[in-house]
Amino acid sequence: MPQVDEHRQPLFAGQVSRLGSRESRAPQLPDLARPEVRARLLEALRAGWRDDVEIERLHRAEGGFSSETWFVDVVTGGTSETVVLRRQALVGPLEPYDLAREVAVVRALADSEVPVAEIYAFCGDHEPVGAPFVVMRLVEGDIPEYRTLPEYPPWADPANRSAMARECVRMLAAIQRTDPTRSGLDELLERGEPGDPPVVGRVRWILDKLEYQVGRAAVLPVLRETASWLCANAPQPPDGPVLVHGDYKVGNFVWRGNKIAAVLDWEGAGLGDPLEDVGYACHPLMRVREPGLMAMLVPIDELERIYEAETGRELDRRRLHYFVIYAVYFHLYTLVSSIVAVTNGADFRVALGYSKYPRATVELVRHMDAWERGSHVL
Amino acid sequence: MFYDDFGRLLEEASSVLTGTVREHVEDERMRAQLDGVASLLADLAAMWEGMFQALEHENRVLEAVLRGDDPPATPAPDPLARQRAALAELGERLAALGDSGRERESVEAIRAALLAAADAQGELVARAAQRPPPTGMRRI
Repeated sequence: MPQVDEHRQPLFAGQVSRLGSRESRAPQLPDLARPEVRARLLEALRAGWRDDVEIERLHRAEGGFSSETWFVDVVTGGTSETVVLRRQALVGPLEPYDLAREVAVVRALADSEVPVAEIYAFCGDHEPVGAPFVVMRLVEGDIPEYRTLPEYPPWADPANRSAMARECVRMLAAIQRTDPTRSGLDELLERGEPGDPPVVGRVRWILDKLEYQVGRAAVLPVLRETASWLCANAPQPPDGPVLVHGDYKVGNFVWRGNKIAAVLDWEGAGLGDPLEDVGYACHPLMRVREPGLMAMLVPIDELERIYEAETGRELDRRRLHYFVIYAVYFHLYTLVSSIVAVTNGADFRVALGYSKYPRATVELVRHMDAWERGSHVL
Repeated sequence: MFYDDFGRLLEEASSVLTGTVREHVEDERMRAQLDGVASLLADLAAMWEGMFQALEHENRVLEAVLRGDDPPATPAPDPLARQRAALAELGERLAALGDSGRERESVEAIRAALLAAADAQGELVARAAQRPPPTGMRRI
């Protein structure tokens, strides 16, 4: 049985140097539209991508509290194109950020069953624009936000919601069919301690990071209690670990109608249980506006039918329930980490996540109790 | 009136930011930061009156699960310091319980205290949620 307190700090110690300072605020990243920054960006693009590239226009996308996204109109070889530029955040809820790792994961998935945005260029150097950045092909389509999903017109029709749920599960099955050794993916992704279920390593890592950030005495007791519970009850993946996206939700897909044209945001990718991403998509704070709809799309019974049809595997509700609890633990960690990040200079809006502490605490306690009673009502 | 004034001042500070300052901020990102600050100030203003009582209630709940009816050996004089001490002690108690072979009664009592404390915080958050965000921004 893994014990949560056997592994204090070492899991996180190696990454401390890549974390924002606890004593001083992180520097603000320079505005890419400023002429001197734009000139340095152009130089880096010519060196790392196309030597004939010209930048016509830069526009920062709305949304996103961590890494910035920019739309960049470029001309290469006489052809105009809008590309997407993502710049790694220096501080934020999920630091330390590692864009190089995410880019390597996406590159490993190129030409696989899983559609991802083509990467044109990656610059790992901080010098040109203050932080590493990646330039990708723009995938046309809609990216609905889960918080505002009911305002997304196709969502209003239950038939569309069912179709979207089927597509989400079909895509999940494709992700899980990916050979972890493909293009060195397994070398990039953490496995945790040999013999432990993969989720245990992530649970411990989160607790280590929080202890480093806020101090051992200030870690919320509910997070400590849940970490112990998660370690004590962690299931082994039934047929070995699979590729896990780590932030599997409707808003991380580019949609064309009811089809997914690209899966975005691979920064949380890892190896784990096939139900880890399902639990994340179904966790209760992700469906506050429609509690009866898993992933804000379909009721649990329908999801079960779709999952079993698309994957050929039984949806083990007890294991799914475990990963719903892990997802709420992860969610509460990001809320706490957001407050730390704001004091280090991150986007101030993430501080407003404080308001979800009580709800997350209630969900964790009630679901742990329910799981122990054998009641797996999500 | 000293303590009462701060609730009104926080509300006023939020209004000044959104009603007067915001229109002079051209940069979109800076405006988003301003909206975030204004929203937090308005939340605090809405929660202000209930915050002291909620903190006191939460302290009583946490201290009861830690010590039963026995008073702390050296009670912290300040309510926030009391809460920090109680949370730290609760954390140590949970760490000592470990992951397996845990005493069921202790676990249940601690979880019940965590729920009661979260309910008190939830009521405060509900007060803040009753009013629309000052600039129409969505809660994250």
